[in-house]
Amino acid sequence: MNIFGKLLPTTIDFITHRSFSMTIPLYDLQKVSRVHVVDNSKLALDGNVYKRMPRIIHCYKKNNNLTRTRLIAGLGDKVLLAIKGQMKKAIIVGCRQRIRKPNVPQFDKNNVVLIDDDGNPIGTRILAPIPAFFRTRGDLAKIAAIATTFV
Amino acid sequence: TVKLNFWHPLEELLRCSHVHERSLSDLATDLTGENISSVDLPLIDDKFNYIMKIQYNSLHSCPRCRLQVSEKENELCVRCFTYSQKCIFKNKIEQQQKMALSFSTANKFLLNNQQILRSVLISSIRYKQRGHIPDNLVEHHRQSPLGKLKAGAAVGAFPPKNDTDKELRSTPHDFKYVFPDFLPNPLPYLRDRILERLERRDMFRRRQQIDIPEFYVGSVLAVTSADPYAPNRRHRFVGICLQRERHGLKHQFTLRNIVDGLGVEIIYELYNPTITKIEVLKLERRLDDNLAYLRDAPPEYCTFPFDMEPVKLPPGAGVPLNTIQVPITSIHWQYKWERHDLKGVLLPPLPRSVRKAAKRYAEPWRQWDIMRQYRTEIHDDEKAEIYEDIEKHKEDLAQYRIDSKENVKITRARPKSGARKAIFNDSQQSNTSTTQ
Repeated sequence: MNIFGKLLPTTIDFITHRSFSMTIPLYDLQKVSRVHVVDNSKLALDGNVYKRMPRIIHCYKKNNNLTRTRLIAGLGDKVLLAIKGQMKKAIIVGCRQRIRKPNVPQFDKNNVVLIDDDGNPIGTRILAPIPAFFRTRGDLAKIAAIATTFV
Repeated sequence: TVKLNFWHPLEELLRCSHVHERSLSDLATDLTGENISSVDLPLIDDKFNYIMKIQYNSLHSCPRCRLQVSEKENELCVRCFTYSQKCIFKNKIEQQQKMALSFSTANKFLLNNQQILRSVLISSIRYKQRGHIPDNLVEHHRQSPLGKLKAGAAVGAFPPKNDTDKELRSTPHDFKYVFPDFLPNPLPYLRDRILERLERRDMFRRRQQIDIPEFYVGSVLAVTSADPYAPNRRHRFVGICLQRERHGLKHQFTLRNIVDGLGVEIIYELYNPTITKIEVLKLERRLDDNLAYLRDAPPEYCTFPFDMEPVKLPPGAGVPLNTIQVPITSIHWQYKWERHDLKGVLLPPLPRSVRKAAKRYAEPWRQWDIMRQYRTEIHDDEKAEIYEDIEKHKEDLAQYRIDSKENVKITRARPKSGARKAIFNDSQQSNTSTTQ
């Protein structure tokens, strides 16, 4: 059990007159969540510098008991992004969500790799470490082929 | 509007139109039907049961609490009025009337029917907990006298027959820090003693195959686990141990490291059979039990190169304590670090409201809370029992290693596959290194 989990997070420069209750931040990746693209493709490099951060528009997830509005995506899930005014599919490569399962890594940033409709990555290199279980899954093998470091 | 006046019943009795001015002692003798219209004498023991129903012209008591004064008849005092306002009744008059009637009747009902109400409460609790089988029923067949005999005073049964046969081994005081995975859950309703024993046996078996070293929160570990899809068939991760959780076979620890500028955390189960090697690259302790604040610290405090060489301590030295004070520099904190009694942390200057709130939530009495300490720790008798098993396991381990070394090569019908060979070699290396 997490001993810090009872109390809520804070920032140094916060508003002191809050009178409403908050939940613990869940770090789930769902619609409108901002994301960091980790490719070396042109779209990725431009999109990270654009006025708006790349955001998730839709999560492709099957066999989900949650409603369509609350679809949550995790490591290895396909996702629709809005980058630089365009729509592009991507795969989540690093997730801040605390899964708390053994042997599954948790990252400090939400990383994402851009992808074609066929599932081929657009870029030629991935600039961040990738979880090792990407090698096991067939649909993620193309990303694992480009990756440099595995965690 | 209602005035706040305290009503002294005896004084008012004296001023009654029916009663002449007399002393209290005279009053007691002259309490007849002629003098006073209707009086229920207050019980001296129950100070709060003033059931005086005196009728007189000048002052009236609040019909609900009968302590405060009200100007008109059947008007509530301020406190009762505000209480009545909060109720869900629509009409205020109805409300007051109902309160005047219901409170007295409710009070009587409570006084007369305490036992019935108690049974009603218990049945309601049982209904809420329906489907839950109490521990007594489940554990009935497990509470055998044999188990109680071995444990002794902790389990609360008859004492052992032969005291001289049992050699009392004194458990070292730091045993709970060295082997936290063997200690059971301090909450007694979450414990299963048979499962604990079975798990302990499995843990010893696993420790025969692999050398699980002693490590603490704050020490740097390197964990190699079997990965069939990797070129080396192995997956190695180096990191600082942030926390150790769970009891028994499920004991877990999290490692944190910053890889290529990205912070990564992985949870490992200590007794997972796919783990081939656990090395302690740097054995040390920190001032806290949980180093989750390292996520909000600058990255220098979490980076450890994967090809880090193990730091060797001089033989016989204790585990060094690193009294480093980690500064928290990030703007967004995951938790409110100022509210927890963290000693290894250097907090930035905080606004006044935050400091005030931290004081409000602070529990400075915790260091003297003996009952809390008792509740979170395990009884010494149980610890002794566990330590006996560990000592026995150590003896067995030494014997097992001697046997495995002297054994002739085991001939196999088929050659080992690449993956299994690497894992076997790993475990052999670790075993041989420790014996040397």
